Amino acid sequence: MAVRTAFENSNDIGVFSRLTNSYCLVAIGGSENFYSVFESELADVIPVIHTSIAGTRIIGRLTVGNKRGLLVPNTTSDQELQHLRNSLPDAVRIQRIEERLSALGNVIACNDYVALVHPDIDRDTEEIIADVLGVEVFRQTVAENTLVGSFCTFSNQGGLVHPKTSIQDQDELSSLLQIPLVAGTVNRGSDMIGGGLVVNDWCAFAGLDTTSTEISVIESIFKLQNAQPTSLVGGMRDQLIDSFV
Amino acid sequence: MQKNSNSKFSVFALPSELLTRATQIHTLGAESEAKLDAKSVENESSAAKARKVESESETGNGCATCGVQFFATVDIQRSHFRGAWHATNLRRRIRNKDTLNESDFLNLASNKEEDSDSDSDSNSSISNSGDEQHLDVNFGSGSPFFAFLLTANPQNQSSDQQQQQALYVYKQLLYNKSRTEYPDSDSAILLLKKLQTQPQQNWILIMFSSGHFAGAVFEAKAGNPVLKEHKAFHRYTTRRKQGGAQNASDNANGKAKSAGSNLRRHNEMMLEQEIQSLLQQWAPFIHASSRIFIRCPPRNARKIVFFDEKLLTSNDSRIRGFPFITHRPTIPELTRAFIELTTVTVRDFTPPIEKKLSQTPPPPISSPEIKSLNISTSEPEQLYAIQTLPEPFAKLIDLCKRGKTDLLRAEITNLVDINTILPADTATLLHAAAFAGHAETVAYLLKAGADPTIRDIRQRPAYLVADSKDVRDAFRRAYAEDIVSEKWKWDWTGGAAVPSPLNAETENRQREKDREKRKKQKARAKENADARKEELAAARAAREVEDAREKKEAKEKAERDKNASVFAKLAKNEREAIGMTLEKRMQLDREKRALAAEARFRAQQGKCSSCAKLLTPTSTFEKFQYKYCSVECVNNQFVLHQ
Amino acid sequence: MGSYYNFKKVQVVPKAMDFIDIVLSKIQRKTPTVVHPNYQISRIRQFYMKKVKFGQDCFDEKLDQILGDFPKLDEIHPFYADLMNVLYDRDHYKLALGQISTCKHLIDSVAKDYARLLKFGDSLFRCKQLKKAALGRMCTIMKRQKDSLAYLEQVRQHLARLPSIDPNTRTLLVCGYPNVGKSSFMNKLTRAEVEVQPYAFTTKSLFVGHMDYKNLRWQVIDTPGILDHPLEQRNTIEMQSITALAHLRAAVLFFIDLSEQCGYTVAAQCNLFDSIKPLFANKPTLLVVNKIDAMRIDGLNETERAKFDGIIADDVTVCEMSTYTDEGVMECKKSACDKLLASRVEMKLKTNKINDVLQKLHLAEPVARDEKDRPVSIPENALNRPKYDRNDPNRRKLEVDLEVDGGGAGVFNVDLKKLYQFKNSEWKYDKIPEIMDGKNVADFFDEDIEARLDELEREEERLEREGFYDEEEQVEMDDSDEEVLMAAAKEVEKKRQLLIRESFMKKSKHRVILPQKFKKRTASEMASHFAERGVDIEDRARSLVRKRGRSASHGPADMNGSNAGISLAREQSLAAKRHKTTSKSRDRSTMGVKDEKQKAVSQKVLQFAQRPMNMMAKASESDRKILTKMPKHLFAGKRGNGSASHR
Repeated sequence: MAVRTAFENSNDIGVFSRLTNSYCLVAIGGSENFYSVFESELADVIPVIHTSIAGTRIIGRLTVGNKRGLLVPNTTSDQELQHLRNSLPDAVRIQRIEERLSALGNVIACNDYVALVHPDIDRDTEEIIADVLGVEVFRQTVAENTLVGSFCTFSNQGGLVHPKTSIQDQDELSSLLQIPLVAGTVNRGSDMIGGGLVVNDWCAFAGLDTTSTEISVIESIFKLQNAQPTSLVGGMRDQLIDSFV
Repeated sequence: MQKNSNSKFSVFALPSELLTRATQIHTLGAESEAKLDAKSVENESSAAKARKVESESETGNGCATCGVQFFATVDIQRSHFRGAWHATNLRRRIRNKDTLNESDFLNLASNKEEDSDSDSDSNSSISNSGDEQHLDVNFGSGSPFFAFLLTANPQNQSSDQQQQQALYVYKQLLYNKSRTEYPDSDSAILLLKKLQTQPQQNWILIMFSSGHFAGAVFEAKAGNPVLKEHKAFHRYTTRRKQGGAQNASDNANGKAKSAGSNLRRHNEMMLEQEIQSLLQQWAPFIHASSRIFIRCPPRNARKIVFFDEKLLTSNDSRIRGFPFITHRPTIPELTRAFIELTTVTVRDFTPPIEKKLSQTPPPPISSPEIKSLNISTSEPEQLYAIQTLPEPFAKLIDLCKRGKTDLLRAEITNLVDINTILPADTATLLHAAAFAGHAETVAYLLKAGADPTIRDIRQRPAYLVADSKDVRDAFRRAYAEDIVSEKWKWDWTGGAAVPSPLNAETENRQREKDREKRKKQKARAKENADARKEELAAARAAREVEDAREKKEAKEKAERDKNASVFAKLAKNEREAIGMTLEKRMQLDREKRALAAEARFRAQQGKCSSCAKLLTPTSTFEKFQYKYCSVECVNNQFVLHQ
Repeated sequence: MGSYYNFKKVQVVPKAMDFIDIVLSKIQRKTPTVVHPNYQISRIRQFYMKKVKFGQDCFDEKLDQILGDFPKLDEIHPFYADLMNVLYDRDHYKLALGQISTCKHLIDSVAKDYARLLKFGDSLFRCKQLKKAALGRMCTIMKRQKDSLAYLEQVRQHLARLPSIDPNTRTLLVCGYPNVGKSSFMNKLTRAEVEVQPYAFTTKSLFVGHMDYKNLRWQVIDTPGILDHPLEQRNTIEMQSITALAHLRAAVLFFIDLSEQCGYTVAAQCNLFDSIKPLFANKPTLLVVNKIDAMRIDGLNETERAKFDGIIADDVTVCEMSTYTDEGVMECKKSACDKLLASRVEMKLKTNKINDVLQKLHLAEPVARDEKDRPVSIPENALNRPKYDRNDPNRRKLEVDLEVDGGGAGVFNVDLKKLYQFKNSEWKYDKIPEIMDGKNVADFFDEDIEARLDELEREEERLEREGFYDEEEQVEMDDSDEEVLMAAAKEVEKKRQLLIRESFMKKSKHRVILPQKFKKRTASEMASHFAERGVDIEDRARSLVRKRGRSASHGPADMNGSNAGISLAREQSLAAKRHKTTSKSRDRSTMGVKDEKQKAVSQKVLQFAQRPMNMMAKASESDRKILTKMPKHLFAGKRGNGSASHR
């Protein structure tokens, strides 16, 4: 299920929300429209939590997490941390990280099994990621970009990477992540995949400008609504070629 | 020899007995690397096989960053992605540098931790930056030594020899860096033997680093190093406190326009010319020499050393690098390096346990004294041995440092040798005592037979370590005593660097001289003080005269003031008039009237009513019927205005 | 994507007379109007020259606009060029624009001529006449363009109403004889709502509709019906269809009405297909048999069937459908779209541009690393939960609904604690202090306090159970002991009371009382005092009274065996200590002076030096404090003679 939404007229919903298989964080905005989009889709399945990080709304870029844990930057205040602790299920571990690259959402991308991180990230941080999120950590770049969290998004089912990622890089990453990958865009051609798209294993939210072709790519690569990634090279291929070229 | 298993020899004068015993060569690490290579080749071949098996379309099983086409299994690929090589390459790629292939990376890793700023010329005196190390490549990443395994000594059969001994020779002595295959035992030993028998030859050592250049031609023979030619230059080419050669900075950040940068640029050029002309002069030596050791950043090598094809080329087989850390290029450093290079050690053979362990070069043999061949019984031990201090020494050093001569005396009687070389920073007990500044202890130690010529790791005898005059005097006194007693006969002025003996006589004379000097000084000071006092007195007298005159003047002025104008007096009278007698008041009135009449008259005449000055139309002040020339006059006549 | 042609932006073309009015009034408004015969002649000339030039500029601007706005037939897509040729006649259109262009040049030359003449104008009158003549000639030129301007205005109005067809996008082109159901089909697919009437040529121009299929946007073009005659005889309406067929790279849906309800025979329709067949070259073509509710292919008689089969070439797909019953409409659409898409993709794959997007078309699938399963973690109720329905009366109350109820955005405050997950839901709204006793509570967070408390309680229970706190077990005090203790306590209390009273008596005297600590006491006094209280202080007092010497720890310096027993570490620490001078408090005021006398002198000097500062009420040289920035007495009141500082 891919849903289009916008946060206060901004299409970069990945900046203002963080979605995992066991919880969803949503920034506190001026109105509840954005929150309610998530709420209507998710609220009876996982907790959808209002929060701020370090007093800002860009929680999607500052935090990273999966079903086992949540990492927040050291700028997070005690109150926010407590609020998160109270709101999240006990099974989810929360950890505040002392990391120079404090926009964790930009420098880390992960699903429940593997995490890609910025090549310059601290060794300690790397270990914490492995411990708290229970993942294998790889230092990688996506399409020569070090901000792996901004330029790719993946769930346990599949992943979308920066449109300029070479085929070989895609294959390598796919082999690392053990999930099918495809290069693509969101928000009518934006390459900030992480900024425009949040996904978990059964649900995806994309920016309001996302075209139907982009939505169809998203649905098939993330296996939403019984779509299969193979359709990208099968049934949908013609459609993609016609819209790209 | 019986007690200490370590001994050192010059490579040119190895005992023939040792040479006969040396049979087998152990390349220390290089071998294991060779094995590793073989293994990787194997890997590759298996990978190739696997590739054949798998379809050609599989592209995701490599690493584009590191240029690896294919990993045999996904697990290998994953471990690669987690490894340091991949991480380094990622970082390099982000910074737009070329990525390294595996062997380069291993080299770099073995030489040094990946240095982030290998571009900038190291300004420190110890320069072993990655770039330079490329010149010093020593057969892969193993030890810089060859170990010639020694067969058991036939004479030493009786003593229990648990450890096999080996002769450690620098690889660079025998082979050129470009040699890639590993020498077999026979050829290496042959080379070593050749060094013994060769006719008179020269070795050239050249070092260049951050504006310092030193070059020397050594006679390749045992004994004290003999320099046939030597020259050292220094020019200001690297930026102080910031490091980095000027041309490196120019290349990186564009040409700087500061005066300093121009200076450095000019100096770089001049230095280059000087070095080139020097090397041209040395051409005959260069052509005749059998080994040329060069330390130079590869960036500069073309300009500094290999500028002339006829003179020297970079692929000359005689060219070697220094297989150890060298300090700032100076002639003493060259000498030290020469000694270091030509020193061969015999010690217990420790086969490299792991590849990593073998990378740390075994002992930093730093004692330069070929002379020490004679007293080799107490020469440096292995690094491992030093790190665990022999039991009594811990306490002895402590005592020396604290100057407990009495306790030391008690301890030292049952000690065999007080000249034992100790950990790198102290060298001997004498050094310890001298450094701590205990003259008494030093005197005692010298009396007890401590050798003042032994040098520490920085090539300083104990005398130069001494921190105070007392201690130095103690050395000099001991020197004097030794001259008299002729007991030890150290090389005082040479090896120990003690400038002159100090006997009681000279000491007394000196003291006398000092006392006299001090007396003279005191007298001079007193004289000065007296003179100053006199001066002050004179000044005071002059001031008194002055004061008297001033006072007089003041008095006169007061008198003058007293005879103030009549009007002032009148005004005063006016005020007093209240309590006046009638006649007095009438007199006053009369006076006033007269004054008024006079003033009026003057006014009519066109004169000032007060001072009778002729009035001009511009300077006329009128009050009532009177006319005045100025405001003062108006004020003076205020009596009339009431 | 494809470029859009939008002719709606062409500005209105005024009629010739309006044109003149506009320009002349503009000249009147925008140029100076006052001139006097007494002015210098150069100024007068300039005045009129400006009018002429301005007039020229105005005409130029307007005409340039017209020339720029109208599409140039050579530059636009051939489809549009041809369409305009059909609708407005290319020659006429070009001529009109050409005339406008010529007119512009003529006006320019007139202005130039008269500006030159004006330079020789020797009086105001003559200059004015020249200006008049210039503007008059310009207007005459303009007046002659009446017809062209009128024509262009008509073209503009028609152009604005043309459908905005993108010639490059995915297009289905519907064509066929009049009245075969083209527009009905269009209405079925799109929401264009083309007029459908039961007579021929209801559709007189091209119509565009859009539809979605396969996540893509498709353009459907409805064309007017075509009759089967030679090209030269076709009318404008038919020619539009032909143009579209000729130039648009689209899927062509040729409609055939087998039932002949349209009024044309099957044979005629087949003939038409044959005659316009050249236009279908290289385009996916579908032969759509419409109105199958009335007549299917099977129902044709022999001759018609033969004729029909004759036109079905190998690359023509036949679809049967009925817009009346909706039978086969969607199938028809699908087959048309698929065919078009396939052909477009085939074309695009041949271009170079495909290389740029190749990586987007690649699906990277991993080689399985190991047998380990990495399951997705989808909660059970995620997939089978009912979809949120906005119109369901029992729908979940969303936060946005609460917001509306709570006063709308900006007023409503979201309840952050609502979702807290506690063991006891009553805890949700408990107040937790952030700062307590000046300390951040979060810093003292103890994770396992519960567990430890539990443990403590369990231990307590155990102890209780074991009878640790039982009365009997307590150590009983001896009666006699207790008595002694009580007696002593009583004694102590008594003494205390006495002391209190004594001190009270002392205090009640009205005199200055020396504080306790300044009272001089001798050692013997103290000893007796203590003795009174039953403490033997003899030894201690002596030790206190004795002058303090070197402590025992300051051992003698000689090392001859006496200290041999001292441990090495202790030796070391002692040696280190020896180097330090023992600190002794000294009177700092005498430091650096010889004796008391010298000190007194120096103090005097100090005081003297301080005097000027004191006089200025300054603490020191560095005291620059200005206590009152604006002293009232210096700033208040009227000011007459003298300066404020004298007040």
